[in-house]
Amino acid sequence: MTSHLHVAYFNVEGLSRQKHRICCALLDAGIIDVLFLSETWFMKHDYMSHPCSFVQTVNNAPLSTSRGREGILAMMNPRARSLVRSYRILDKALWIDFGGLRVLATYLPPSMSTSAIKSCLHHFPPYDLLLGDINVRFTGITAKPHQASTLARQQLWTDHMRSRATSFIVPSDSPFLLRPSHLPALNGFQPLVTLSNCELDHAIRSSATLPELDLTLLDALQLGLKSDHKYILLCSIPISIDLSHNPQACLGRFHLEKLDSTETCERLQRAWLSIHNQIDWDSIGNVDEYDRNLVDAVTLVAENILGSYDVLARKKNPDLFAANFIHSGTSTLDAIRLFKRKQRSNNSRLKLQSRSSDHTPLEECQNKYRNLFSSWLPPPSLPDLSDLDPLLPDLLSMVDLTHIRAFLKTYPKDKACGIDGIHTILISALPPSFLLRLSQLFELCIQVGKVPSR
Amino acid sequence: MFLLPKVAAPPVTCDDVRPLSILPMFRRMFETLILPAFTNPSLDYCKLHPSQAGFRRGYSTLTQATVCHHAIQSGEIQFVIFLDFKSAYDVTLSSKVLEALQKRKIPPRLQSLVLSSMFTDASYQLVVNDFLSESIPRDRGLPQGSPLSPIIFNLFIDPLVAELNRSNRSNIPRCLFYADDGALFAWDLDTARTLLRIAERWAADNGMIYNVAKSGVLSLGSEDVQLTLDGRVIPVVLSYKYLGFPMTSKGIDFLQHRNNIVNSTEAFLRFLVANGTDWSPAIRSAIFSTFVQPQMEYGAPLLLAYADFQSCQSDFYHPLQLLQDQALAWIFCTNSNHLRIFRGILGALPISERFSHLRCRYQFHLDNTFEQNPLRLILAAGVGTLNKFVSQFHRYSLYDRFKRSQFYLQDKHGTQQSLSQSLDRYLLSLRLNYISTIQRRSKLLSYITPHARLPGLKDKVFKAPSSFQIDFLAWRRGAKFLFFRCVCGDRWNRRHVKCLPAVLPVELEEDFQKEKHEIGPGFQRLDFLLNHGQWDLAHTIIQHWSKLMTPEPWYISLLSIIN
Repeated sequence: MTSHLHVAYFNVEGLSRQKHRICCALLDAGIIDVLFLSETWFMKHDYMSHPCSFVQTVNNAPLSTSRGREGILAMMNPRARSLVRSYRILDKALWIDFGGLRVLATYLPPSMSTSAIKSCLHHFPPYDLLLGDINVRFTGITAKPHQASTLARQQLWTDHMRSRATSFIVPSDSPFLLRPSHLPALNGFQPLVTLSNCELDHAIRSSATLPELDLTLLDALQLGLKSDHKYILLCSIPISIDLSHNPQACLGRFHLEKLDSTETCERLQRAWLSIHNQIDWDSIGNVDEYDRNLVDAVTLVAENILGSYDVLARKKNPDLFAANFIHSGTSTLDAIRLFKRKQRSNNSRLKLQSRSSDHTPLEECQNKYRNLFSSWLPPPSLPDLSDLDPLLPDLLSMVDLTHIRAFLKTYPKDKACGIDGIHTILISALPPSFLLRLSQLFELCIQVGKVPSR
Repeated sequence: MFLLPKVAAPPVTCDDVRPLSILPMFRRMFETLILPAFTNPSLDYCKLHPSQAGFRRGYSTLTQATVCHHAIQSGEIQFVIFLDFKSAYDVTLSSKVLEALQKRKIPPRLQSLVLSSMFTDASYQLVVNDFLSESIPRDRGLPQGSPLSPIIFNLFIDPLVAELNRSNRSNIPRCLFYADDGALFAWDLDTARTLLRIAERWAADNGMIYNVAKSGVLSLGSEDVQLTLDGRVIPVVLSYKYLGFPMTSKGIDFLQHRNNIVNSTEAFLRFLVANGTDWSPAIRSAIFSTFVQPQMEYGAPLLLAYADFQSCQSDFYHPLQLLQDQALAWIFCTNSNHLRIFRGILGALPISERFSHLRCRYQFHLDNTFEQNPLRLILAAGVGTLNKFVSQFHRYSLYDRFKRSQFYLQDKHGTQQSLSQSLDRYLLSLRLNYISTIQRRSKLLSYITPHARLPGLKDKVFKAPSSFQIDFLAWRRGAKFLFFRCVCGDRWNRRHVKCLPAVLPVELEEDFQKEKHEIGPGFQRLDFLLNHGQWDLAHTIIQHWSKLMTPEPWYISLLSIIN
């Protein structure tokens, strides 16, 4: 099945919060799948924790200056992200391999010397598509021929393109139409303003590997993106991969912060008791069934009373916790959470990459760990258990209510919960009858010598 | 299962990650609750060889590193071989774990729970770049992140540790382990080969593989040696990082270790400076004590013993002291160097004193650890047989003073836990003494009364609303209004408080006057309010004064440049 990947580039001249919001909206609407932004200037707001942010170049500005310079950021929506095999962070460029389609986005500031540009071009890895603000106006391309760059600069690029067998992509004349699939509010098709001449920002394709493709120069100002660079380079590339499948992680979490209210806690406890009384717990003798009932009951109660959110979706919103905490928090626990958030967003450049272009990183990891964690041997038989085991009373006493309460009291609250979203904060808020059931589940595990399969 | 990168820079592939399991909370609770059934030292099947220190109470990386250093310096050892397993936890086979548990005569119920929890009823989902895989069953490997895994691994590897140490008559063990990090000590080539064959045989029998390229041989003589493991030559190394310490033919390279922690902490501080611009002093202080300090103080008792031994205290601590100074300036959001006041407000100690307290705690740990701990056995052999470095761990002057103090004498026969608390109280009293000493030279500190400090001796101001903290701390250290002109026209200093209005409610005014009488004439209403947590009132006064006074012209220009 053939679909199109929409890859765009824009010199944003300072990625303010407002510009960032607009770029995210373009990605969410599917108008653009991959957006390279140059001259982000490494603004202070934490745009890297947004799920659309994929990777950015390294900020080499000295710490003493008030802001970074340059900066290229790759943003993409989940469907494009699922194609990424590997990426490289270069001095003046980002290189990303989308399952065989190698895109290089660069920003070469006007201050760069000819020799520095030469060296930069020389070190570019092989690419199929180059997008970038290269700060060269080419005679015959620019609409301002009197401002064309020196012949030496132009020649540098002509030589580079000859050596790499690449050529400029000519902007398309056909209008760019916003469709109802982009914006459900639209009744019909809405044409967007496009420009016709590339000035400082250009798109170059490898003639050998990439077929003719559509390049649109979208007027940036109509989208609210104010910059000296008037257009967004938007390439529509046919790819033979089904992009409708989106294996994004949907890690759900409950709104535990609502438990700060006594009233919510009481509602949670009442809801639990009403579900608890509907189940005949004592008739369940199977650990898996007992566990499933307990987890389902807690999940239902928490979902109804607290509500839940998708972790990635929440990251799209400004980090209210960090903002609130910076102004009001004083506890060590909150400071640690704040620090860990900062560290996570800084570590975002360490995305997993594929070793080969044939598989996605997820596929490679699945293959590796499927092999590593499988012995391919028949399972060892479990030992026979005697009911008269002298150890049994001791073991059962280890999981009684006192011990469970002691665990809940001492277990660090900043630890992550498991995939089921059940956190100790939630467990602690439930009434004693829940802890009793939990204790009974643990007792059952000890009696049958088996834990629930999960 | 999350995959944590083992490298600091891209590219990261599936070969450069450590799989970390985030277990469901019920499973985590259950495993933690039944843990004592596997660790009770009074049960025969729980007993581990004393050379294993991983995740055991009474053992630590520091005792292992001290023993390793002593072994190298003793002159008895010719070779130290550091073993590295390939994904030790991840490749453990269920049948082999069962075999090991059965040999130890672990009750069948516990065997069954281990097998079920780790292997037969286990599955996982991978999270890669925010994508979630399908559920994949697993029947191999102890999940990293499970509370039970390290304990089961210790039981699993214990036969190897015991076998390597069999018929050892020296008080220097033939091997040391911290979980899967092993060091073998051989007094000649033959012993080295014998130990390696034992290690090879155990690995082959138990489905484990060595990472020979990452293992290393430290040859303490001049002999050019070729030792093999699984048929491959183990690299001969001049230095090997064992449990975080660079081990060389002379033992721990303390200078290198100090430089390593200085470099890593410096890099960490740079990260904090760049990323924590909007963090309040309270957040900075919490991050300092939770993350920076442990990194900066790793191995402090050994570093102090080395500095004492070499009589090079001030020079040796200097880079660490500079680092602490930088961190304190960062906490106070300033680059000034009023370090005495910073420490006084935070209740912190200079590095040499702080290390001395950590050394005292280490001595307490040694005094209370099990008698079989290899370091205890070495120390028990007597001063005459020990080299000078290790003999220092027989006693420590500060710890002796603690044992003569009321803190100890009143609780002499208490439990280890209550003694530990007594030691905490003793060290806290010493920190209070330190603050009183520096108060004599920094009058401002005497205005922070003992009840205005939090239990850890930090000024209560760190609990004030975040947006007030910088102003309050600036007042505490005498830097508030530093470049302002008072309403009377003179340059501001604390004596000019009398020129400014500060009206307190009647009942507070009475209390203030009483305290001022006790503390001294320099004690001001603002100090009083901060001591009593009257944040809003204190802030209102500061705001009001800011409006009344005018900053020096050059200060205004400086501010405009900064902003």
